[in-house]
Amino acid sequence: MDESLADYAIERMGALGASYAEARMELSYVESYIVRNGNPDAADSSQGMGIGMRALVGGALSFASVDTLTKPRVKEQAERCVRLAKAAAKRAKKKIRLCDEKAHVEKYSVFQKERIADVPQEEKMGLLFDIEKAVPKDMVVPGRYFFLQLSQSNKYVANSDGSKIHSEIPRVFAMCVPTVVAYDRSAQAILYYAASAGWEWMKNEDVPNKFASEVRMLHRSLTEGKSPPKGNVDLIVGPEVAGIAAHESCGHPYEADRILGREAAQAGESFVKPDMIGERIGSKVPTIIEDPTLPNSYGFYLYDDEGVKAGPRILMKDGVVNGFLHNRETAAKFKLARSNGSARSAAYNREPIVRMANTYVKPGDMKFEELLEGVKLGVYIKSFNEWNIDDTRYNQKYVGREAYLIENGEVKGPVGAPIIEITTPGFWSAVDAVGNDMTFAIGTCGKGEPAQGVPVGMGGPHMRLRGVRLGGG
Amino acid sequence: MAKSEDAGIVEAAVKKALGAGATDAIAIVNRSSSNQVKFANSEIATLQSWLDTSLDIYMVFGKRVLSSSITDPTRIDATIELLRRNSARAPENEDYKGIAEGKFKYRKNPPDKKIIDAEGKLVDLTWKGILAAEKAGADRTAGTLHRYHTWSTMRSSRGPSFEEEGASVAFSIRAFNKDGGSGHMSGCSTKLADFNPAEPGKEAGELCKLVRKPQTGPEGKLKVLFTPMSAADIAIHVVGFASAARVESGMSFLRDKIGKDVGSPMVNLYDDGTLEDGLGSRCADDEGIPTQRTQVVKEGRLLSYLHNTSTGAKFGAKSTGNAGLMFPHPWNCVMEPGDMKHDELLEEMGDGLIVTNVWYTRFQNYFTGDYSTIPRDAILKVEKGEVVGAVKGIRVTDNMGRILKGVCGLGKELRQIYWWEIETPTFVPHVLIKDVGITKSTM
Repeated sequence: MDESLADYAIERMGALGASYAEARMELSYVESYIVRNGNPDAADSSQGMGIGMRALVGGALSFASVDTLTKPRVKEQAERCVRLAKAAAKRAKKKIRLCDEKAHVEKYSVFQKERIADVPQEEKMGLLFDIEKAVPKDMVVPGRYFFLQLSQSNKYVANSDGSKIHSEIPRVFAMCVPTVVAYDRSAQAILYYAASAGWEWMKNEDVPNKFASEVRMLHRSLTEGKSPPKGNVDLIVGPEVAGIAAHESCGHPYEADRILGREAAQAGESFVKPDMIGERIGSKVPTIIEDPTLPNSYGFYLYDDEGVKAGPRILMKDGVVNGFLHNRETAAKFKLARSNGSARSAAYNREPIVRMANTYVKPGDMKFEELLEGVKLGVYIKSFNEWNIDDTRYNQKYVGREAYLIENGEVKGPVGAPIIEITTPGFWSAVDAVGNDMTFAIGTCGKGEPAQGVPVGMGGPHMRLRGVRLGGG
Repeated sequence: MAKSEDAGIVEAAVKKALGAGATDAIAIVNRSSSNQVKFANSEIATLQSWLDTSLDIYMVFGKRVLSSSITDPTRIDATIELLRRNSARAPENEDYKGIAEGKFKYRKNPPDKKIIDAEGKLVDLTWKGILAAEKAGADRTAGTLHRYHTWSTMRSSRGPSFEEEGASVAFSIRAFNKDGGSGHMSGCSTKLADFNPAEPGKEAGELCKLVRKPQTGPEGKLKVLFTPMSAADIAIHVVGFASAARVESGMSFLRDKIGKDVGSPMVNLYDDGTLEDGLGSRCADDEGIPTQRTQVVKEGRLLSYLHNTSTGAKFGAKSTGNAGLMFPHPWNCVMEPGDMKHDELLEEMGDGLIVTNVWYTRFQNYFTGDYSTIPRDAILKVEKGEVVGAVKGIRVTDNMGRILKGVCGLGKELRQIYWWEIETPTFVPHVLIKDVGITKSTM
């Protein structure tokens, strides 16, 4: 990468009147492989490189990107970026300001024991064929879609404050979608296995065996699953469900740009208002943390795309709203001294906006067996398939994929597709205990326009919820 | 590198690919220059500009299929060498049945130069929409105005080649009032003269004005009138799920249903890449086959999947001109209109709901079509054919096949919908559906 072009863009925007200028140069390499019902589709190896830049002029913000990396083209876009900000400034009633930040000069990378680029293609594709071989022979699985994506992003983030940050983050990602049929009924799962790591992580993950276990579980659920009990029952939810709830009904509504209405026409707003810090949302049990810096996590980064150093943020503490996710613009609007490093962009040609990275429920000290104790009649929802939530993040739904009846403190046989349909305060207020375990699932979080899917982690321990109305089955 | 050089780039790429041993090769350069005005709280949040380039190359060695997309066309030699090296170890794709052969005639649909030159007018156009919404009753608005200018240059080793330039504008506006009401509308066009952001702005403002202090909605099986914004979500999922690749992967409830009834006899669904005003229209697919109008559902019966050459051969059908380099996909989804006026639809409904927008559609099982989606913005309660209030906090929890079979009324006007949730341009009327499953949170 010729970083001098990004530095040149910053200089040029500054010379034209930008009070703040930023340029982010990114080289991304992506390999993708698909095996569909045992047959390979095209193996893809793609590479993209470009610069995304922002200018703040007269209290208005603009973004421009270019992927033809010649000095004349970069100059053209830098000048356009300033021109756009000036045009926006003419209409601005309220001026946009960015909070002050320290300048950082830093270089960091994720260690790859087996570098993605060095692993032979047949070994990568071979993983998908190994998953195909792991399909249990005694089960009918007419749909088998396996996808492997290996990527590496080399990024240079610089701004007119003097930050110059180099990073190298590889990511490994596998997705399996089995469709299992039994007794003229079908069940499906969308399974993800991913991390910020080299190829060694995927090898150690043992995806074929995990996949086979899921297929056996789906088959058992189809053949033995009973209807879940109706009405108000106790629930134990697995880390996957705890994680999605933390992401959807705590992480998203605590995004400061959403609270301020910047995403109102797309991903929506928030039931959380700016003055709700200190307000109780849940019981005294749940604490929810957001942390981009967790080693090898799927949402990993150490500095955000505005050059701000990242660290853990406590969103909900003991059931009370504790803090929001900020970039430099929202931090200034909330009159905070500093951003908390939540600005992310999906690629060089996307503006950085407030995003989650890894959101999780803080574990407690109870063993799984202790959570079960005292549940006379309930359901253990280990994982989920379908979910959604309204655009203020208040009404949500999770439909169980793997779930079991609990009777008198013991896990019994499978139940089919239990449904939790509940408000956010209803969900977090029902939590009366959390386990001492901790597992992360992953996802691709959508927000922004044009769409920006970014890698995120979502996790937590097992959690117990009391008296939740259950549907489905 | 510039647009004028693209023909040379793709010709050289195909020649080099064949020289490297490929038996089939396709190269496409896609360039675009686009802008966006993003606004929130009736203020400009940001103005954006993108200059994007990609060279997509597809190389086949016997039955070994490889592809690449790069943003720097000068890297073509290294990319072809990488794919050649990888091909030696790639497994064979038994489903590969070749790519389109021969020369084709393509429709000409030249871009509107006024859109190409409209970069400096976008803020003023946006303001027209915002002011119209505020005049109609909005206290604040949010949304985007996009301008797209694209051009593609394609060559295939089997003969097809095309060059195409396109331009379009799209506006999406959500209007809010202080009493918890909101309305959302989109408008788009391939001709600047036909594009008036004030119209969707006014409609969004009027919708939000109808919603004052909405009450938590009912549950059960209800008659629901889906306006084009929300009906588009149904059409896009049915036509999108007709992609043969999805069907084969088990990710479609349309599997094994060709010739069978999948909807009410009123339902006719198409993919159509030829519509002059369709934002997704293209002269040809990625193999160079001219796009066409493909009827997916005729009078409720599943007629066809969407194919490229290979999936067509596998399913005993012909390509429908829907090839992406990897998978077939729709260009513009279309649900054919009926003959009912808005008043007649409400009269037919009697009691029920009008759902004016949905988001976050998710499937529990693509194979069965079990899904749910969340109505947002104005949800209007109808009694005896009259709007009597607004509701909130509900969810459509149903099955896509059953939804299609419940269609009992179609409006007479077709509207093109294209916004953040509807990424494939979709032409739909108002759609009345009976016995729609409605659920809600209870704690």
